[in-house]
Amino acid sequence: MKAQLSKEDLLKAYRKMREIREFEDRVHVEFAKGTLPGFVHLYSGEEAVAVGVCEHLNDLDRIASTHRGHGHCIAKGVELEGMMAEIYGKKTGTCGGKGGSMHIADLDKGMMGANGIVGAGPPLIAGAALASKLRKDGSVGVVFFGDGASNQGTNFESMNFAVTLDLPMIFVLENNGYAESTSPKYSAKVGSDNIADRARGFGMPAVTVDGNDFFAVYEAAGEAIERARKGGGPTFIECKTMRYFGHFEGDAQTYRPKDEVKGARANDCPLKRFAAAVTSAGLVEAAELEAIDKSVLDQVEKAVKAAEAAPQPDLDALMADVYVSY
Amino acid sequence: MASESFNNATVGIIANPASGRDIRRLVSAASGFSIAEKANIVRRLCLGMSAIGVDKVCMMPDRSGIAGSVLRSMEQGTLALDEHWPEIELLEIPIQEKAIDTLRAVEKMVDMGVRIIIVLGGDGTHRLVANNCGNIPLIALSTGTNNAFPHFQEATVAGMAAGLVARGAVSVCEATLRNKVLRVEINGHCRDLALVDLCLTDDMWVGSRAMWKPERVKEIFVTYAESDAIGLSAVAGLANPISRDSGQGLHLTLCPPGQGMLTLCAPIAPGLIVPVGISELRILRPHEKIPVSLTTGVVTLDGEREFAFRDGDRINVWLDLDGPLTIDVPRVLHVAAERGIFTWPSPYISSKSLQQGVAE
Repeated sequence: MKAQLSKEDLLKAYRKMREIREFEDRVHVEFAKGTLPGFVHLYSGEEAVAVGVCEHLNDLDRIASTHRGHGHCIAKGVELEGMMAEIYGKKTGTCGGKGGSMHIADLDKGMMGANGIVGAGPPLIAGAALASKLRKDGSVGVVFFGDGASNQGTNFESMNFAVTLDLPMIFVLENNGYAESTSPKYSAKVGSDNIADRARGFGMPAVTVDGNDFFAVYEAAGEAIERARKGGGPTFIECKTMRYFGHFEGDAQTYRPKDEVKGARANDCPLKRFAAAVTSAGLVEAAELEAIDKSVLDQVEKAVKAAEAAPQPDLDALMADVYVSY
Repeated sequence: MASESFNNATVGIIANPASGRDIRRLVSAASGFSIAEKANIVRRLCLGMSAIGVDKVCMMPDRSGIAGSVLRSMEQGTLALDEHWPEIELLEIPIQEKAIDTLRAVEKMVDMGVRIIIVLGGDGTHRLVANNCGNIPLIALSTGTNNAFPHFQEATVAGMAAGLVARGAVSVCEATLRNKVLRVEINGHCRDLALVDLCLTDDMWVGSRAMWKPERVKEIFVTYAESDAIGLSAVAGLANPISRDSGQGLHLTLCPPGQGMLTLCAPIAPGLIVPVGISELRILRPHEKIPVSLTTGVVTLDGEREFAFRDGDRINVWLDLDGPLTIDVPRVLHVAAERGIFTWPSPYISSKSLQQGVAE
């Protein structure tokens, strides 16, 4: 892991976080217009987790995502235009418009897919990490999952598998406090905040970090990924964070305190915290960040226009990619 | 010298769900303290206090399940095991899962007039409590990583000691010792305190908070330095031990190993023993303000990176002998035993289960 992030690293990380925020905020607007097919689950507020982890990864490293997968895709390097077109269900989408929001995948970028099944990611990455180990190519697998998924049997089986085979795998728990609509006041009963303790029970290092602080996530992920690359086995990182939108778009969120998101946006926004840290350190000028903000807005606008103008998938593509021959 | 007896004593409990869970689980061999174990410790504290007649406990709420598990234990223990619990009140404060929760809980406990605060955590948790507790005595229990300040102590006995002091069977004067603190000011404004050690590092960010890279540490200040300590104060403890009750501290300037006046192998985190070079070592006198030499970096307090300072900021550190009061649990039990407080019948042993046991 780099001892200190360079200015170039900092600007790249900020740009990725800004891309996620603007992309998601725009999807929020477009979905409300009724122009997008299917469901969307937005990642705004959790940007520091995806970017803090993926800044350590290359295209050989594999990640698996969740139903809230746009942020992970962007952080791993999937192109915005293809993603937006995919969400619009257009032919130019990352998966030809047939996957939609919950099934964006880009294997060239090591992005094994968003996933509509809660808790489906850990076994996928256990397999990818086993492949990494057999290939001896130094790559790692990272699975992002939520506090709801942490209660799924697939997650426990994957932790057991990863520890037993000493896999180069990192479990990144995005604990945003709500398993769909289950409020944290029930967490003592479902045990959702104790998942790092459960990982320790499997014998792997488990740490909890402030998921809204890019630098905290970056540091923990760096140590875990370096350890995995050296053959040190799996690690579990619990990132405490918050989503700014509902579980899905259209969620009335009656389970949340009224001003919870307003307070988080004002006082605990990952982008604001990042900007304050790098500008007060004198490493980046505020104007440089503002230039990125403007550039990303233009980029997202262009992606929406391109998606709107793109054609629908051809009818004869209907049966393609349904079955795979080995 | 028994003091005034109190029948309606309330004791506060701060159990930090975040202690013992930081990155040192990954970069060193530090143990984890599970939520279940923390809840079990609180249970034993409550049963210990209840035996001495403490009627009410107020507790910091949390989202991690400590308070919830304690309430379930109370319900199940009362029904199935004939346990006698004090009334437990969860404080009504907003939960942000950050240090502010602890600060708010302590403020609330001070307002409520609790007689004692029991703290479960590491050095960092105790530092937060010490910021706001004034002269309310603390019982410092270790559930953290580097535990130079709190000790490992069986919670049942600690709960009994809390009850004995809260009810006046042993006076605060007899039970407590006054601790030292290090205070740090930035640009003339007092910013925070440390109970054990304060370090200056050349980091740019607070990041994941814990400090485990000795090459980044440039200066160490300590209130006391024990040779068997774990953490950054161990460097001072191995170079020049300073006792907890002496009226002075220590200031070390570090350099690369092999250079300077001394190189030591010090246990700066569990399982992490590293060479550390010392270029200068001087005794800290109370209230002597020491300006730090770094112009840019991060201040760590009791092992955790807390805040960054930049070119132009003026940082001063000084030793203050007027820190928090802590209860010496062995001493309290010793005094109580000498007074025959545990000999039946005793006005301080009021648990119904004990009465039933004797009657049988």
